[in-house]
This record gives sequence, structure tokens and C-alpha cells, in this order.
Amino acid sequence: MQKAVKTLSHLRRTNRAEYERTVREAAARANWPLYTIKSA
Amino acid sequence: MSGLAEECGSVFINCPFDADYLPVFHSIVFTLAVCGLTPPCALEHEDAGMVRIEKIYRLIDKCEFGIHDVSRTELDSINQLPRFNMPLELGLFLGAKKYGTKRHKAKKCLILDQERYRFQKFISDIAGQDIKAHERQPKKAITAVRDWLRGIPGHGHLPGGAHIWSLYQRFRDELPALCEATKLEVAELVFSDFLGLVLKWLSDNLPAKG
Repeated sequence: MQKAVKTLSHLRRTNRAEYERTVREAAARANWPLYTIKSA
Repeated sequence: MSGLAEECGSVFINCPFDADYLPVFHSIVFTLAVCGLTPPCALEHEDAGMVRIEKIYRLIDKCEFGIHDVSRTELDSINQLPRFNMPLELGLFLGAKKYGTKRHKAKKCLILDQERYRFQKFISDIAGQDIKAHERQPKKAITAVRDWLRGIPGHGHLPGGAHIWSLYQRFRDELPALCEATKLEVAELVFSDFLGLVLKWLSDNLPAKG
């Protein structure tokens, strides 16, 4: 669990576009509304 | 995080446990964690061998703080009756505070409803308690919980409601990705999984207390 958190935090700091794509795609698969990242 | 948990104990959360309320519940749990408190709500103690009211007694006895949400007063569509568990548990908490030991008398509670003063129409005897409205909005629930904690003497700085809301939105956005990476289903998270994710996320995304 800690590793997953660290991996995503690291991605957010180092590659914003990839971070947003990861978050957006996982949210879409879960049918999960997003607050801060625009849907594709 | 503040050191509030070490100084003051944990929080009993008495609220509806259903899908409609989940966004508000999650925002309350997140806020408590940001403020350094551990929320041991009844969901955490899923011991099938224990009578539910005994779990409630134990939690109320153990917790120095209580958050009681009395917003769920709608009539059940089948039986046309309201749910009385939340007001019952609020009454037990207030009873412990009134008639308990010195430790029990020191308990603090926040009462939440969906609209300000609505409680006067169905549970007017609680007038004079600390009652806040969240309008079923996580953002308002976060501010209500944070401001209530800030008003309790004996702890240090807490981040403001707007900052906690900002953190919460990011955590909430990341939740499906975090669940996928940890082989969890975001729609089926049990309380201990959710709390575990919150605590791990905060440990990596909040600056260490200086």
C-alpha cells in the first residue's frame, strides 16, 4: 500500500501528464468522478 | 499531522453507513486523520460474536470525542419508519458524558445535520450542543469537523478547512489508481482499507510535523 502511494506521488512530481493519465484512466474504469483533473 | 491523537484519544463516529452518505463519511475520516486523530467507528469492529450495542458501549467508553450525524431522518420506503440508531447512540454518548466518571465527563462531541436548526423539528432536546450543518457536502463537513477540533483546547495548529479540502480532493481523485495498485475495489472498500489508504497517503503527502 505504501509503495503504491509513493509511486503515484513520485509520478505526480516527475511526470504530470503521465500522472493525470493514470489517475484519469483508473477513475474511468471505476466510474469515479474526479474533482481536480479534467476527464478525457 | 498534529499530536492530538496522543494527547486526546480517538473519535467515535456515529453516522449512516450507506452509499448516499459515503462521500461525507469519507471526508470526515480524512479530516480526522489530517488532524492526527484515529476514528474507530463501529464498522471497524466487525466481530460477529459481539452484540452490536455492546460494540457501541465499548466505543463510547473508549473514545474521548464523538461525531454524531443525525441527518438521516427520512422514512424507510418499505416500513415508513425513520432510522433511530444515530439518535440512540448520541443519547448514549451524552449519557456517558453526564453520568460517567471524570474521564467520561470530559468527552467532547460534534453533532452534524444536513441543515442548520432542522434538528429543532425532531430532536429539540439537543439544543445547546455544538450542532453544525453540512448540507450533505463533503467540503462543508470537512470545515465543520476541522473548526470543531480547533475549538477544543489543548492542541496545536491545525491546517484550515480549505487546505484540508484541497488535500482531500487530490486523495479522492487518486483513490481508484491507488486501489488498482493494491488489488482493492474502490467501490467495495471496507473501513479499515479506506483508513489504511488515507493514513499511508497522508504520511507521504503531508509535511512531517516540525
